[in-house]
Amino acid sequence: MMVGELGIAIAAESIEAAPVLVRTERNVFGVLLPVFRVERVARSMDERGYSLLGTTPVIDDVVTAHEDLVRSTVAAAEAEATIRLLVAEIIRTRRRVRALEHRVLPDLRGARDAIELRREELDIEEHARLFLSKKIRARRAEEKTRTEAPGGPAGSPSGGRRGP
Amino acid sequence: MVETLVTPGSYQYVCTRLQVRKTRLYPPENYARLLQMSLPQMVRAIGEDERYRREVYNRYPTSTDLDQFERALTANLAREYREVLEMTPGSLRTLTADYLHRWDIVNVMAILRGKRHGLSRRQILEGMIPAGDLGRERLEALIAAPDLDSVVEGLKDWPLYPEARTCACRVLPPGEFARVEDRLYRKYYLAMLTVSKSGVRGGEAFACYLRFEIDILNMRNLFRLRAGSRLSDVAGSMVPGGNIPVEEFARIAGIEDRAAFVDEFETTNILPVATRAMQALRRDASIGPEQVADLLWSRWEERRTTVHVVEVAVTRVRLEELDRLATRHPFTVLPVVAYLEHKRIEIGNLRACVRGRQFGVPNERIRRYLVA
Repeated sequence: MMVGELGIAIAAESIEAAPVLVRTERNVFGVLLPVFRVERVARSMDERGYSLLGTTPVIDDVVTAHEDLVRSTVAAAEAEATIRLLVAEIIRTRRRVRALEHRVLPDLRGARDAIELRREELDIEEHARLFLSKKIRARRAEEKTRTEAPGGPAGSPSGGRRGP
Repeated sequence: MVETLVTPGSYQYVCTRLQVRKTRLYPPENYARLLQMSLPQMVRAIGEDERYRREVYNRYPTSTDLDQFERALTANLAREYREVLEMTPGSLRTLTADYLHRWDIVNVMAILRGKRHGLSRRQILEGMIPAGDLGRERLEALIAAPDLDSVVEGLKDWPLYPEARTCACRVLPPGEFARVEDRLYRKYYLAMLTVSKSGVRGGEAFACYLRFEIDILNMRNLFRLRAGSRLSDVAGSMVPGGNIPVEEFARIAGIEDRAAFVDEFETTNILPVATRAMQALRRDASIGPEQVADLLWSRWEERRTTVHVVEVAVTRVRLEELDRLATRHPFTVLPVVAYLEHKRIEIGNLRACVRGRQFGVPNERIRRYLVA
């Protein structure tokens, strides 16, 4: 029976059907994460390719352990790729959040304050304008009343005129 | 080939010499001692043993590469086997040579597969165990051949050439190499059974052991086939000639019911062996066949191979059976085969210790792989 390093090398090379790795994707919050599926890992005795009479069950144990290792490796690769992509996405999102917090938001706040200030100024201006126009209107109304009254001043703007 | 009733002196000499040599193999406590050492201490302790000194120190004097150390162990195994083959006389030599043919199959299949899969010549050559008929020079020539056709062409005078011939095809159906290898091993066991029944000294006892070994091998492979989801061609991976017919294994393969499984199992001679193995493993003589049948059924139901420690325990029982037969038939091929098997197991144990330590495997887990 095959023994030693050469025995294991030959048993490993005798595999008739190589495993196939199928890659698909899934969408998690807009991030495309890989999904690895490995086919033909667990092989039947025919596909293993070595002779039963020429090997010991230790070789079966080694092959089974190797098949488990391949499955675990693929699962680990999928997890690692997912983690890498998620970490990259988290870093990108964090950078965006920081940019929003430290750049965009202060700018917007500044603009908002400027607008508020301007609006307050406009409000005050408007208030003053209204106050002034009210005063003018009141003064004109008073002058008008005065001129309409008998014996009003001759030099008034409406001086000399009389109402109907 | 019918032999005289009087045992030749050369048989007595060789068998006694190998019995003595077997006593020099590592006892179980030696492995416990090795496992207390660090890796360099372990390598040094093995290298200082005069049985391994030549390969470990002379071949790789300055290397700390464990691949080289493993090759030294393999080289030691091959040298030991060739020495045993050279010292055995007459029909003892014939049976021993036939027994060692399995290493020819190992080497030839390694070369064919290595060439097929594009392994380097150096890598193939370093994995060779020239313990059979095909010596190192012949194997080197086969490895140096440019393609598979030339390798198969170079094997024309090999007794198992007809089975290996299909490997030269350019396009092989899936699993063809495995089928060829299975055919080679089936042919090997059948040839061994034929020779052992041809009237050679101790042939019957040897055939008895071979049938026992075949039964264990078939049962183990039945569990492996079930675990590997291949139950369509059970007979193709079974060795005929054991005490349990191949048809019986094919019947067991289709069982999905516990009662039927246990009933079928109780009719075979495997259950007592498995019970002995479990009793030895758990150091509990009260374990009965029902408990063992339950354990086997649980593995069978879950489509898993038998637990490794149970297999190791069954191997121990097989070796005990071989030793028992060798004691009852002391001047036959059985003591020779017993020594060869124990030696192979020792090399496997040493390899497990060293590699286990190299990869930081806990001692408790290494012990599970030791047949000691």
